[in-house]
Amino acid sequence: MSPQAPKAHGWDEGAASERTLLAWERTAIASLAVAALVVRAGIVYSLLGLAIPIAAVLVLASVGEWLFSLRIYGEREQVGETGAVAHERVHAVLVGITLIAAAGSAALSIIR
Amino acid sequence: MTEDVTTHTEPDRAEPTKRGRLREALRRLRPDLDVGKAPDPRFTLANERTFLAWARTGLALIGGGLVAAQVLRFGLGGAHLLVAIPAILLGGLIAIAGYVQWEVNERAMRLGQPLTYSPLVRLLAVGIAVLAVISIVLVVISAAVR
Repeated sequence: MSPQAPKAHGWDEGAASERTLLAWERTAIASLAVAALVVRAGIVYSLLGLAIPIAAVLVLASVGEWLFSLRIYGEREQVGETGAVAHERVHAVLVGITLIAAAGSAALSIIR
Repeated sequence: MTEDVTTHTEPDRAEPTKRGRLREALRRLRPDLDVGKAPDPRFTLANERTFLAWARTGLALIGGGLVAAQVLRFGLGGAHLLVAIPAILLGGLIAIAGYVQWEVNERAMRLGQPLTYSPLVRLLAVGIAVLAVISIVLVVISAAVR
């Protein structure tokens, strides 16, 4: 039995959206990992008052990233017709959260 | 020749509120991507994934710096900070530069211009090389002191 020939599509039927969803989910996992390291540093240095707010921001960010990944995947049919949306605000927020994590991590390392 | 002088009265404009000024400032910060035409959605999504890959690289460097601060012991006072702090700073810098590169690429694609080479690759390579050199020097000095 010969395999069924693939249908010709102008748009790749969501594969690009799926890869983008996975990229957002990997970013969410990375945010969670950094949050865990921040909490560990807070426990080791007895600086939980500083570590917990930073970790909370990172955990909330990871939840937001996961939810946003689902939204991107939900846009896949619309994307094929009207073009992909540039999510500049979400990207700027992600950079801001990364900078908060960097500042908090530097503070935890120096203050210890 | 006589000059036609007309007097205009400025319409009364309400003073912008604090929230209005904040909104205006945020609008100015927002990249102007309303140019050209929307590119193939696959390209926009690929650009987004590249940005996310750089953001994860930044997070990994921040996490690595944090671990270096907790784990490394050279027996030289605060020498471990010479590894930890540059790694954390590099992580933050890469997150910002990744965003700027994403915006540059998005604009170029919308305008049908060729994409520029990313300076991020060089920044990351040089940054990691510098961290490696600092680590080697600290390890050698630490071994010599003991």
